Amino acid sequence: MSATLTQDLVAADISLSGVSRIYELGDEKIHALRDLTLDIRQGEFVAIKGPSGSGKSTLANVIGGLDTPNEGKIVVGGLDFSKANDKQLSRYRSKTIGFVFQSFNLQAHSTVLENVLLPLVIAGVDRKTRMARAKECLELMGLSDRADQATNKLSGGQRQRVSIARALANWPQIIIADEPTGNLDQANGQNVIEHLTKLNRELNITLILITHDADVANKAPRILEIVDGNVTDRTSA
Amino acid sequence: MKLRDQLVMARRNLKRAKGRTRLTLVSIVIGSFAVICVLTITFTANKAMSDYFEKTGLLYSVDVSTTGSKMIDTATIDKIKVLPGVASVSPDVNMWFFESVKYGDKAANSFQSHAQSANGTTKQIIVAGRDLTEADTGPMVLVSKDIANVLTNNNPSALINQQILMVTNSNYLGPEQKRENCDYQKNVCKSIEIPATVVGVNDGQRSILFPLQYGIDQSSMIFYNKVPDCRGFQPQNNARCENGYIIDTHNDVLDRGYGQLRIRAQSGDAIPSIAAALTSQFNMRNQSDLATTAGDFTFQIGQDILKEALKAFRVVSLGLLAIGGISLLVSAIGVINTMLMATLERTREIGVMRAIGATNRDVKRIFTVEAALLGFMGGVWGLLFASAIIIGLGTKFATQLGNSGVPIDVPTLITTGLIPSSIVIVLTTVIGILSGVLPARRAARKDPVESLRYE
Repeated sequence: MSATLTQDLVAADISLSGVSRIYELGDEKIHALRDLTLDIRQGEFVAIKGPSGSGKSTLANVIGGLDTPNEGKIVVGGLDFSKANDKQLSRYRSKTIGFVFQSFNLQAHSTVLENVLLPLVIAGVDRKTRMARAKECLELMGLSDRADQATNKLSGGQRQRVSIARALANWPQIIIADEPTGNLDQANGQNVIEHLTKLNRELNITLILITHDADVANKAPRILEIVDGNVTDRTSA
Repeated sequence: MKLRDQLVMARRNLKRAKGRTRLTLVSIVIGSFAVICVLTITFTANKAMSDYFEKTGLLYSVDVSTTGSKMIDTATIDKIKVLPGVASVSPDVNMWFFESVKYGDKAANSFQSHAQSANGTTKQIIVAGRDLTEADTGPMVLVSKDIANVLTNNNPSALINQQILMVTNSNYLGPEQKRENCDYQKNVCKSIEIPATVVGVNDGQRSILFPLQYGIDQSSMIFYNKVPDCRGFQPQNNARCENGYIIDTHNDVLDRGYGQLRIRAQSGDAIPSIAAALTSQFNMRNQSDLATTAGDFTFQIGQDILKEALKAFRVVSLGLLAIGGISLLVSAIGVINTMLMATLERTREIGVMRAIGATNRDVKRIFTVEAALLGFMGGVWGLLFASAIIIGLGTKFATQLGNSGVPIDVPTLITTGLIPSSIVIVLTTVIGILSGVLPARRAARKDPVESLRYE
């Protein structure tokens, strides 16, 4: 691994206490998360599994600072979300978190390199540094030769690796991968998981893997199962 | 996020929706084109009018004319000459008895012949040859360029030092007229041709200018009355009897005075005091003073004529500008529509941007910069199109003006008119920004989680 990939890596322990997230659909209240308390330490590889609609993605979004809980407290790397403003939360998403989505969410008409550059551009990183960093991330994902290719010309596995490279661009301490293998065949899915686990293992990046696939979840040393918004630690199971 | 990166991103996003971007640009280009044309025409015409008044000395002139039968006599002229601030004075003799001019087989009609002092009261812009001088007293003329063009097939220089023939009308009873040509019962004579030498061609329109003295001389009208053997004739001031004819000579100018007079002020600042003196000392009335009706003469100040002309033009320009403004308003609606569609189409992208660290402000600025860029590009294209068309038409117009003798340097004027019109680029950019505010705010308010789920 390159030295620059460990830049700014400081502990970003995750602490959730009494977190509830309720959605209102008309008169109906849906408890996506119920009084959830959870700690994840820097460098852990945690799989969060559960059936569809159990609250997995809501948990990922809450940890990622994209969604705000109705109750409870979330602190990541010393940042108390309840006291943070939009700028602080955006900076947190930019600098601490890297998202990997099931449907990749790449800019279809942009090149691979441009997609990886995007978080660096948003973070205001200077041209020279961001170009070097984007290329470094692509190299890490084995996509150096695809840098100038449009992402809509890539296979699913390649697109997800671009997505990981993009998540990695701003030297994050945490990667949240929401069903990263959901749109991939088994071989490509396996490859993507290997890349993610490598990042966790070699760069001490916390990896939170959201999945409904037990086989994928079993790759993680720590497995949390979420059902109806309640989480159970199944690591020993 | 840096502004430069936002601009690059905006450019890329606009390129992604090429068709829509082009249509929106067309509406902005039409709006900006209309406004630029109106502004350029306004600036150019204002400058042209001011330049014309400056070059011809009209800006510092006061024109006096009679209101009735009373004429401006030489005693009055002498008094006006010594008024403070007066640089020079030139009476004007209307040589109404010339109806056409000939040169070889060419002829020109419908012009005015005048005689004026060649003392610089009216500045002549000489196109060929020279100006009249105070030493010129005989049949020498300064011909306007349009007439010279007609007489020479557009080669006015060819007329210099050539003789032209001034053709009189049937009422000419002047010194060149022959007795046998006339019916003195009816005071009607045959037309005659009086030769005159062209000393120069000026940039005036439909005019032939003679030296003042020649104009005065030609204003002498001679009447013949047959009286056999001059029987019973009593000598009078203007009459004599020769060979059985009483010859009665009247010079309208010398006997009664001038109908028109031009005063040239030493500077624009001197004009108010000259105008005050004309009113108080000579019973003259300023034409722009609508409250006063008295006075034997009226006078018109060149600066007032210019002001009135510019005022009238301003009203027209404002009307045209309003039409241009409506076009820009329509283009603003186009930008709003385009940007609202963009925010909708890019909902998921907005979610991704938020997930990878974009603040609400970043998202807002991305869309605002995009709208501003649309406005800016529309303004630039509008200016380019307008410049091409205005310069093209202006060059054609300049040729026509050049032929007709109007002393306007159209290309220079267009350039000076187009430069301030460039402000339209700022205007369209601001319109873009303002039009982008609402869509940008909507984009920034989108919930990132909802945006990421958007299909």
